[in-house]
Amino acid sequence: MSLLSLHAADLGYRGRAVLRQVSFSVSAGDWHILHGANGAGKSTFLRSMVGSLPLVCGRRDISDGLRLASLPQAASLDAVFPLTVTDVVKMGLWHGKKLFQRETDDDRVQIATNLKRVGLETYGTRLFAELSGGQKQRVLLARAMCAKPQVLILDEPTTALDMASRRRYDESLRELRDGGTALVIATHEHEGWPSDSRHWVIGDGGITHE
Amino acid sequence: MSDFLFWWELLREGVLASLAAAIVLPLIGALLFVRRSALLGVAVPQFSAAGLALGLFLIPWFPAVQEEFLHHGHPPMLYSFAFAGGAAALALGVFAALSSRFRDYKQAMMAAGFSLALAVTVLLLNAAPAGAQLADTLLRGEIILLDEHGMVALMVVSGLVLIGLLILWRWLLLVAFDPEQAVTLGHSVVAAERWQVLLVGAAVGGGIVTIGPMLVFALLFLPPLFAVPGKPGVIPYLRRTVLLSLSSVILSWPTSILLDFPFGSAASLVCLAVGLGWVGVWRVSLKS
Repeated sequence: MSLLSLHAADLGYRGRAVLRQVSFSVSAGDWHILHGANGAGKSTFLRSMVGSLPLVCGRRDISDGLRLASLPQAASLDAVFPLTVTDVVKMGLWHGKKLFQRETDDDRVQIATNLKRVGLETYGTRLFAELSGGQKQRVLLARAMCAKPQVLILDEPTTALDMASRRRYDESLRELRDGGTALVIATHEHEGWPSDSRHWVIGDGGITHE
Repeated sequence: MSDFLFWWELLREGVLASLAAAIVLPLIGALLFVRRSALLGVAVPQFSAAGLALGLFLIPWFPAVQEEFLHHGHPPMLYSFAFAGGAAALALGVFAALSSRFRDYKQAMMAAGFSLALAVTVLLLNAAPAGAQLADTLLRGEIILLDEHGMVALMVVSGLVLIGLLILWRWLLLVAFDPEQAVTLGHSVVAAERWQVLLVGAAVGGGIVTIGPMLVFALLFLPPLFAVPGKPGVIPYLRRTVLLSLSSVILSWPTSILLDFPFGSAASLVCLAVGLGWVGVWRVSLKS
């Protein structure tokens, strides 16, 4: 069953389409890998999937009550915010009414558990802005895990990771997928993805199955 | 004791108003600071001042307002606030619309807006009956002259803004830090931006008509800037911001009286001294 889909959609900015006639569907446990050159429209595609960019035309369907999470490039987040690692991770819990409710013991356990899953359990009180690019990316993954997403959308998540961090990161992604989370990942890397993942190429104003 | 009572009777309205402003304005300033919109915080109070000047200019068209003006030396607070707060909210809305359309010129547009608002303020005050006198009092930050109406107006506005911030701060923070995450969690970015416009407009407008632009500028920017060094985290940062602001305002009162400085100038200088003192203490504590 489709959780999130685009139907004959033109994607772009201010009425100008960057990608045309895009049809794409995500179901539970899917692993979609998106390739494409810089400027081809990967981020436009991801933002349209997330819903933060209105479609130029076409239709976006989202299943009722879908828990969606996105993982931006860490460099795109502003370093001036005095947020600790814990502050950033707890944002993953702020869905629906939780935005206005007090933090519970269960919330604190979730934050600690997910920081441990990405290997940053001792970094909770550190400033997010002072972490390396790879560490920030892992913090954002912990935040996404807190949201317990059914669909997780990731924008070039492994760019700043060294080999050891990459392995750990991949393990965390597999854990998520084993739990039924569908992953949509934009990346420049062609290797190291599971054999059953589906690869797509974004370019020439559209998206094609590889 | 009798000296204290004498000064308290004389300064009560001003002291209470300055304490209310010292809690709310730095929180608004911190919000603008982390959004890299400090220039907006300069331009918007100036628009608010232009709104107030427009209100003063239009007084002869409103007989009831004119009567109150002649009786108390200032127009009714609600009248002034409608113009000052309205102008602030309008400026925020226009800047938001223009910024999304001309992203690369955002800073330049705010600076241009500030200079235009300043020019309009001066022109309107020149044309307004007794506008220059009231403007001079506000500009110097002479809140010793603030009456009970002004104090109550500022405390009500500050209280409402504070409640708004307490309820909405997670939403505003989330949208400011990562709007895409806000969308995925099901929260509207546009609605959060509107709330922010309302809160900033109300806090700035309320401040401009009661304690004047100099004190508004000082409390908006100096405490949030000097509060950056310290224990990491949003809550500790906001707590430091308010503590620096409150201690500055408390120290500004004896400074203003003993040195015979206008309160606005005294508060700006004391904010600077307290801020630098905090940065020094923090650096020494790091070394030791």
